[in-house]
Amino acid sequence: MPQPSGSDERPFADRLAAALPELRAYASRLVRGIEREELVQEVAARALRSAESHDPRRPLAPWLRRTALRAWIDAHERGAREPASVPDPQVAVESDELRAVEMHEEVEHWLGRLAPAERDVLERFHRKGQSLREISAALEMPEGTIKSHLHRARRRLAALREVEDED
Amino acid sequence: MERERAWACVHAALDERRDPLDDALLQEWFAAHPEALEEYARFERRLELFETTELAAATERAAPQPRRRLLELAATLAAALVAALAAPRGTPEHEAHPRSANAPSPRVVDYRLTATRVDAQRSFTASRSSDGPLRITNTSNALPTNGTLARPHTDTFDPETNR
Repeated sequence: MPQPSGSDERPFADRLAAALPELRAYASRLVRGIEREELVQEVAARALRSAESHDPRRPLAPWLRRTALRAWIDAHERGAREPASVPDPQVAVESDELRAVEMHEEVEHWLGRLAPAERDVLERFHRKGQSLREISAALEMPEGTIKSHLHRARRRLAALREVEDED
Repeated sequence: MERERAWACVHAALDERRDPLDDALLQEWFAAHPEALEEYARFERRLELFETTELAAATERAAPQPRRRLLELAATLAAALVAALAAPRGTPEHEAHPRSANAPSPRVVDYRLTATRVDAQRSFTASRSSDGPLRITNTSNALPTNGTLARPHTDTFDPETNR
């Protein structure tokens, strides 16, 4: 839905209500049936809870779409953690933590496959919070090379499952 | 938009320390390809793990490993832990002072779960104390060469007996 430029003076709840049809259409592209309504309700609830974090000078629709994607990811991860066949909460906690250990192992494996330069750049950018320019200066490499290392390392992380399947 | 282009948008957003989910092109891409959103979610979680956890492989190259073995060991340990918690604790003292129907059941206040990878002599320990956060630590040396498994350790508190 097109948003007026400049600050929207309407109360947040009114703006949210006006944006619901578009949000519902967006949600229906992610999930179907009753899950769509659940997603819309979750997004609306999150939006109301964090209304203060939205800049009224910016359009609401993209903000809601991002919230919808975030809610979808959260629901997806929750679903993966809580199989229906595990009724005992204690067992569910254990499963959750085993999954964390497993993921820890996966990331360890991934790190072991990176070239030293890729690991160094990744460490500086994602752990130490250094900017690309700072890393470029510290390692005396062009910024484009730094980006290449960084992107390659991230691509390997994204494709980790495929890499492991090759083992 | 093609997949490569979508991932280029993800990298560009991360390079600028923006949330990729804020990107209008990616919002369209993920709506058109929900399976790509699943892939992105997995990637994001791993990246978050890298950002927040100390990993031994940051300084040494990890050998290819049979992941299944770790999972089997961890599953065995989890089963042992759950079985230990579920087992009846019938002692003469308990029989003399049977728990009332409304009494709260024993609660785990802290525990530690260790999985040892025999081939790499490395162990992972997940632990939690009281209501504190889950901690995962990684030990890469000082393990017995025969890869002895650490035994799961549990402490329980019984509000009735105060033990």
